[in-house]
Amino acid sequence: MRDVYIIGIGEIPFGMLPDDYHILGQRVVMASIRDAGISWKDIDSAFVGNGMNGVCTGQRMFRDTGMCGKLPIINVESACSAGAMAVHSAYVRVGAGLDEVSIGVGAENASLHRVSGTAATPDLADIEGFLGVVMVGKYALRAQRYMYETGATIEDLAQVAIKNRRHAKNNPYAWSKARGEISVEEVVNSRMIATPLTLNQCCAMTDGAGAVILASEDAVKKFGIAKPVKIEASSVVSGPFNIGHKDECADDIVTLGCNAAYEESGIGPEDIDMAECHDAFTISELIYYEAMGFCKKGDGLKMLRDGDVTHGGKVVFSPRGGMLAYGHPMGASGAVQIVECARQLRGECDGYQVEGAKTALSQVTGGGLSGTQHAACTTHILSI
Amino acid sequence: MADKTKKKKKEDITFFHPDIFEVPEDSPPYLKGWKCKQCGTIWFPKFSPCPNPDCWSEDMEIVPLSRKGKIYSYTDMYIGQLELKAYMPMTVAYVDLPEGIRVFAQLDGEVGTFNCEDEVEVVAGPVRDNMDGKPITSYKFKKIS
Repeated sequence: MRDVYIIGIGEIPFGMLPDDYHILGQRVVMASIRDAGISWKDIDSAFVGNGMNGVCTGQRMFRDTGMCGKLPIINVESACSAGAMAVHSAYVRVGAGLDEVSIGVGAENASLHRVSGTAATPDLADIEGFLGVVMVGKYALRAQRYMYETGATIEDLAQVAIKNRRHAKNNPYAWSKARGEISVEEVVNSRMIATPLTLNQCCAMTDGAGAVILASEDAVKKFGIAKPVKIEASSVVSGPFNIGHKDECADDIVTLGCNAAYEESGIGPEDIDMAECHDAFTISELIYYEAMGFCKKGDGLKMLRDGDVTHGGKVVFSPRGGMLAYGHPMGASGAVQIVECARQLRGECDGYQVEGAKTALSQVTGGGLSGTQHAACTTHILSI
Repeated sequence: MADKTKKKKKEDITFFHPDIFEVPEDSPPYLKGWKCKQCGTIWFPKFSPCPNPDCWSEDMEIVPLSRKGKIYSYTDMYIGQLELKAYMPMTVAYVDLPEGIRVFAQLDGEVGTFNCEDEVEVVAGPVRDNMDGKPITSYKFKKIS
């Protein structure tokens, strides 16, 4: 594999958006091409991640840019991990030398496609889905056990939401309704969704899109890219299958995915300045501090309490505000995490910049599949 | 040629699923484990062939699983699937069986009454409505009093 760089990024502010996924996707494709300062003709292939909006999602998206017929378009699906997996696929294609430039896109419109007042559900062909589970329920089961084992309280969990919303305060791309200050009381006393997870501990089902253009070193030179961001690692793993008594306060697939990325890059958690993780619910980020190796097993809560995961701490978790402040459009989130990591490394996050950030990690899982902790996990490590 | 006569709509299931759950008339209900005769692993729910990638044997036998287990974790869900509105709020749990198997299940009982490590036993009860609006029976767990 040769070295691969991010040369262009595009995203749009998340929210309840009237345009369907393919229109959101077109906008970020165009934004990323303008950001890179290249022509559409320079893009050799496209990968498109989407969760639940339809079929031939990528071709629909690119048709209206006029690019359909000019490049191969490959659609990628793995629920929440789809957008990051699209970027991974573009990375592989450039790294393998097939293409000089490839684009990974994630786009989703949830609000036009889902009934409000319901929760995201695994496939009903999955036994847990048939028996009534929803994604928030699966995470609530982990949260309840975490509290039982560690003595953490709902107020502790709330601190993750408070931190991430505060991080997003000055981020124009975060959901306008979820960014800024929120009190412990507002988090804890919001509507109960699945004990102990209250409404403000859950990401919203917003709409959004992100695009990442990847290129070879030759292409970086050819186009005179001022701040190329190097992809140090891009790992995709599938969830270990285990019907036994596994530890739901740990996360086998996230550890597997991060270790693969650490090995590929030679960069360890101690070298990473910031991380965007799958903080769909407060409990997930807490578990990930440990699962990703940023602290010892059992020390996650201490990291949060000690301020080690915010500005000025050891590693800034969710500086964009995470899913808790952006909302989480299934197919879009993974791509947008990478967009935001690249933006931070380029030093362009006015008002929410991680000072001196040189290395960033993004991690996004995907899918409720019984017998696994998640169906998929995609991890990227970037540097500048 | 396509058959244009209207077929009588097939009735939807009212029991989920005979391969994994048995409700005998004169004895308590039990879950069915799928034991691989080649590698000896017991699986739940039904897997056949054996999903052990070094085995893949088709030679599986059904073994009754323990009726009693412990709640590993639980949650009282207030928001759920659209089709399950009539069943909300609902408590769901991971129940650990002594065979080393963890089962996801709905709990039979009031919300706010369960805890981690509570002892529970398997019972039969409605888990959701079918396409005809009739309840589908399957396994649930109930606190041992």
